[in-house]
Amino acid sequence: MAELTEEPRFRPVQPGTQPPHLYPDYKSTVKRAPTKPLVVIPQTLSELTGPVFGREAVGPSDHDLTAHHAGEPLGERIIVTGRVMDEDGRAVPETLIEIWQANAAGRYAHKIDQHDAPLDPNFAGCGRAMTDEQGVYRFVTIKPGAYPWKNHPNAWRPAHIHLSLFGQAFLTRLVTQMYFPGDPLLPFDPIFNSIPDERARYHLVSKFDWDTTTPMTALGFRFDIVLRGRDQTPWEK
Amino acid sequence: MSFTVTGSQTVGPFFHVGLAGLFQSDMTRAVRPKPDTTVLNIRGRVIDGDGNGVPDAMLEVWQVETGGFARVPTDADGVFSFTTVPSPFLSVTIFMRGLLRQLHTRIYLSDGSPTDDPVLRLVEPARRGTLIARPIAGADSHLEWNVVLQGEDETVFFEC
Repeated sequence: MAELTEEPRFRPVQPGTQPPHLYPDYKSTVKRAPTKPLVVIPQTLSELTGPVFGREAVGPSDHDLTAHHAGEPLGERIIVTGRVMDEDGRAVPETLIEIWQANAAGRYAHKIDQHDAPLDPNFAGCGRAMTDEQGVYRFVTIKPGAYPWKNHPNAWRPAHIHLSLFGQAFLTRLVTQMYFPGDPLLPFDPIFNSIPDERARYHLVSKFDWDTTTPMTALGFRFDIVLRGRDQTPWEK
Repeated sequence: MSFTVTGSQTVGPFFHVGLAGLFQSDMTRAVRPKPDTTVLNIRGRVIDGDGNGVPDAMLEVWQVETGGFARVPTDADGVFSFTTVPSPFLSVTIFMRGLLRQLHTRIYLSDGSPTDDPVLRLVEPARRGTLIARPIAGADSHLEWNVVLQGEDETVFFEC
């Protein structure tokens, strides 16, 4: 059975830390969530490996979303930084992070976004960065605006930045959203509230950080990201 | 263990803004196929519980033997397509608006003897067909494989 390997397995996902597929308060899940139980399979080489993107995937100003156009975008300039690590706190180095977000008025530069708020000709809202040897990443951007959506009457999404990470295997793949501290919309947002465990849910809220805040330039927010980690105990055959 | 794995959240409807830069549908690039290498065209549709195509979904496909990778969005009808070289199976991750947590499945490229496969063996026989790509009549090297999110023919999704 060539597929099996003796590499350490990834630990099972801890209950309550991940959202269910069906979460009726978020209406779009109702017709899209699988109805049959997931089939549990062993971790084979296909799950213990994954695509690797090198530094060539990231241009020199890709991490600075305020530097992609002739002029500066409108809005509060911010720095978002943090460390990508596994469940034991070990750095995940040289891994690609892609982000996307609305502009300061709460509008995405996307053809299907119909929100009646202005586009910003100086803001596309996408960025990329690689983590360094210590797992640290850093983006410069503007604070996204909240925006309305049609999930329920008078529904508004709290300000958020989407993040996509590969990590070192198929099983470490993560797409998530980072929120901002003190946002009054958080308790009302079904996407945020889909994470059952309250502590795990509030891990998605970044922290305002003086050490990252740059005088006269930008407010700083810290957002650490934890990917699935491998078990250290050897796998028993 | 001291840290909790960060919670997953949906890609939402606007993922093209951030993820289109790495859209790629040609997995054969990883192997630089010779002129006589068979190139397979895989095509399918992501279908929701009402039988409608899902226009805001994205698939990522990983082929461990060749290191081939594809990231393809669905079109307005929920249709996606990509090319690859033959191998026993492909690993697939699915993202979409309305999906809070990615789905994981496989596409088997032939239905030779699936019971030899340690993963297919774990799937009840009546549902194995949802993991197997079918030749498209009249089109050599073209295979069809759909993602059915709900119902009688619901695709088998994995957890590991």
